[in-house]
Amino acid sequence: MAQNTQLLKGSLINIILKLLGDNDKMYGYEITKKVKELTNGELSLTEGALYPTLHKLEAEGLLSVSVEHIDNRPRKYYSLTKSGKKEAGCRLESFKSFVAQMQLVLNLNSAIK
Amino acid sequence: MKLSPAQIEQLFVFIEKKYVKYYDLQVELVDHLATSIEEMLANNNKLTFDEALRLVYDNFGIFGFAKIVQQKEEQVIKLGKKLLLKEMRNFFRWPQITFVAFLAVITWQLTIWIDMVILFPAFCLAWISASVWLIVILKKYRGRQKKKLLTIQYAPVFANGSIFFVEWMYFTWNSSHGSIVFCFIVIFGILLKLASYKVYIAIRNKAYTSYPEAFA
Repeated sequence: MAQNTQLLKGSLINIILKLLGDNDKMYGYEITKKVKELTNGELSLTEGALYPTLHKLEAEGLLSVSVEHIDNRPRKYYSLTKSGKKEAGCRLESFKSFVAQMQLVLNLNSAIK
Repeated sequence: MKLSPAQIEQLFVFIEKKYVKYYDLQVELVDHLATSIEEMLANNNKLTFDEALRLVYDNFGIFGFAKIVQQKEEQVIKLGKKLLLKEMRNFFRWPQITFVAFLAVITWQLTIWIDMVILFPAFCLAWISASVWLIVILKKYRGRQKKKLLTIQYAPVFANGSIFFVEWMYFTWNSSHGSIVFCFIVIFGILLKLASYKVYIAIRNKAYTSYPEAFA
């Protein structure tokens, strides 16, 4: 489980960029819920990791923020900026390539066994 | 089940008690807590609001909101510096560069026409006056704020730093290329003040659009 958390931490930016690329705009809780749904509850993002990452991406100019009033409270939505869309594409491509390489390494390891 | 306005207010109070004093951060955390609580109460009707709140807060780990606040502060400072740098760079693009050239010519001419004994104290006085003016404007704006906003609190405003500039100018007084260095410092100082003012106004306008309820 601890290893899973480390892997998730390293992939958090990719997950956020991918989800925001697929959806026009999302709020924090929605992102955590979506990750749970997509992984059938196997992965769950911690709030303590999610929000600092969102704020970091916002400061880097990859995300923009808008506030709307929903159900008697303000809600902060995140969406990709123009440079965020570009960065998302690049990051996901290199992540896909990394996963493919890992796959090769893991298959090789099982063949050795 | 949707939370009532009184319960939302209770969440704001709860978050403030946990040392999250900035409204722009409170909004995000209150929405997160409220949405989680609503979902929990919908799935388990025996659960009370307070119990659900405790369970949701536990998900934030042993540090609670502290890590989020600290990292948000760091990111806001970083963003402010980035915006300031962008504004400074903009001065050297067309057509703003004409303004910089105009400033350079005027300052250089002044060093030729007027003796440094008069010019130096005059610039120091102008610089300190500009700083005081900026502080007055900031205080006026902050006075209109009903709630503290992190983005405004950490906006990169060089309202002070006058002593530093005055000292810097003083060192150029008798140096071999004193006039050139003097001009450079004066122009840089003016551009920095203008850029920080522009960044502050942009940050403030954005905050006003996003959180109008935080202003009087």
